[in-house]
Amino acid sequence: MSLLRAVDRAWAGLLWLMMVVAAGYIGFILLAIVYMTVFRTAGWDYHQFVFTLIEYGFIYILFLGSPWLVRTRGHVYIELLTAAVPERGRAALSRGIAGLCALICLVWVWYTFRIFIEHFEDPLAFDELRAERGMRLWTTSIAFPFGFGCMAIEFLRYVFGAETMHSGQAGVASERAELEETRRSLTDAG
Amino acid sequence: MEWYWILLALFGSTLFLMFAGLPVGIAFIAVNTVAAFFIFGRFGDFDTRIESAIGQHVDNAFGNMAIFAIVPIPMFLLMGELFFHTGLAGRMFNAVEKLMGRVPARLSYVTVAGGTAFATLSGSSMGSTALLGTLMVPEMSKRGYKKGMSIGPILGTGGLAMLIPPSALAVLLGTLAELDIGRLLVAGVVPGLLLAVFYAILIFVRATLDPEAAPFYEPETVPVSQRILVFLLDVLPMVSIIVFVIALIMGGVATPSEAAAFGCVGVIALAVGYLFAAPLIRGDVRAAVAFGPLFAVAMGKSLWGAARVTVIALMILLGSSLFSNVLAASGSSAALIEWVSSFDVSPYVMLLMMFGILLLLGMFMDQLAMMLLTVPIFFPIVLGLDFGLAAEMKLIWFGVIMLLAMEISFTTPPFGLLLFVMQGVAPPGTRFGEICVAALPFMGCALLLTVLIVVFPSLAVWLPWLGG
Repeated sequence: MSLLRAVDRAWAGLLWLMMVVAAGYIGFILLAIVYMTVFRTAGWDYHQFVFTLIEYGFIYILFLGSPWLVRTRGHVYIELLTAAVPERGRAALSRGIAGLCALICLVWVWYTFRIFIEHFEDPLAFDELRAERGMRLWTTSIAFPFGFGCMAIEFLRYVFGAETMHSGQAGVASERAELEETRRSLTDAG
Repeated sequence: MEWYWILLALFGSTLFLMFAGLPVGIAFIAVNTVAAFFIFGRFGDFDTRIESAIGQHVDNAFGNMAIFAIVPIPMFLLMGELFFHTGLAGRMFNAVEKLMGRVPARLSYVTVAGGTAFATLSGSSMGSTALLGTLMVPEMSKRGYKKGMSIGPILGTGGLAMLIPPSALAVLLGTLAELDIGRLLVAGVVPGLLLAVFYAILIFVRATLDPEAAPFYEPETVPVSQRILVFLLDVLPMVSIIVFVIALIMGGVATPSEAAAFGCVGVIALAVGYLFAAPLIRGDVRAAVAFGPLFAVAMGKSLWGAARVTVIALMILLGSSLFSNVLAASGSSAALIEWVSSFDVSPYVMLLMMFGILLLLGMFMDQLAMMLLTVPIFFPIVLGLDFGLAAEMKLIWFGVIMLLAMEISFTTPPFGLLLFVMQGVAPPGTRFGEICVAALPFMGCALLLTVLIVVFPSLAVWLPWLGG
């Protein structure tokens, strides 16, 4: 049992770290734009590759941060039906919904993994818009099975774990999470 | 299959999954995958068809998400978070409080002026409402202000964050509807400021009709020289950054992405100035030394906050990346537009219906989900209607109307986000119903502004086309 708890803590730490990388990537985008704009304005050459890193960065940010948001109930989902059903049925319904989400993610893991393998094995697989910048397509398509895989694990936690995905309070989940964060910030500032 | 059955199946299943409690992005991904399975994957066995559907979705994701045009979303979010966490937005709010003179309902005006500034700078409706609710409501209650004069202005100004640039939500709307993001951002300036003026007029009228709603009190006297200093130090620099960002976009000097990034740099420079350079000049070395860790914490929190909302927005963009293609490929969007055009009703009736649908959806769902559902349908419909405006102008104009509808939906029961925020920070004993009633006149102002923008579209489109 303690081993399971340790694994869960390590897993949570990994997801948190991925979210930190996603946040850091936003800082990188800021620096990259400043670099590109300054160099362009000064008439100097800048690496076109930075442009690709910014654009593909959004895919990395999404799949690095999304599993943590599933874990912290930070995604946008509406609690209406789950708030309306009686206490006894709520947990079962919530687990069923989490199971459906996990299933959708797993289907995506399987098929996007195949897409990634195709891209990996094909030396000519480039994004047609960015082919000249030399970044192979698999470097970004790998993010899809990875991200959906991590999300599937998190949804499965809500199916089989002690916690459920839905709180039973009517409203939008992400907004509740944001409200908590804002309150914490205000308390810290106060 | 007839187009209306396809539409019904698409929207019905999406709404069902959403209201069942699936994350909005996942609900869209599921429905789009199934729809693409039938529409794009017509050949081959089950496995090939589903791979083709998901492959199409992934391809579209590259085109819709991995693009430079959405850079302003994280940059504006970061800019707002930096304003919030470095304390610059709060500083400006305090400055507005000092600058406000001896007027009846003084604290309500402070809330409108300071709240507009705070919401604009921080870009966060929730942050603005929570901060103002915490700071102002206890003070106003102590001075005998009625709920309508204390809670109402806070709820009203909170929503301005999404209208006045820098607004990440406007960028997302522009991306989804394929609008000129720079023009859409600039289009929100006049309506946003006008709405703040309406709020001030509303307060004036109520304070005149019912002086007991906001009893007069003698504020602390601030000498003129100090007022000028406060304005120059705590208001002008912050406002300059926003004006700088808008001017860069309007002048075509920088793209919205570049302007947003330089806005962030501006906020960082201001924070360095206020929290490091100023103490150093005053000789307060300890405060200057403390800047490093304080700034690191503020930067970390800001990046985290910006990343959190960016990931939410990207998930929604991923979910939506195939939706408009599915609608187009099935022929249902074209058929719907043709059907709508066949009615012999005024375009304004159609507009009213769309606005009504937005308000209705806003009662139950988040703004991002609303956009996702309605943008692929509403914008093509608007494009086909004659409002006496050129095509691009018409779409920007409708974009502003849509932002206004979303602004109103922030305070519509039962799920209006700001109502819950206010309930969390209002003094004990404040009932949810009281908060809803306090918000009503301010929602009325937003509705009035919407009517004015419909009647006088130049209120929205004049500024973006000022330079031609």
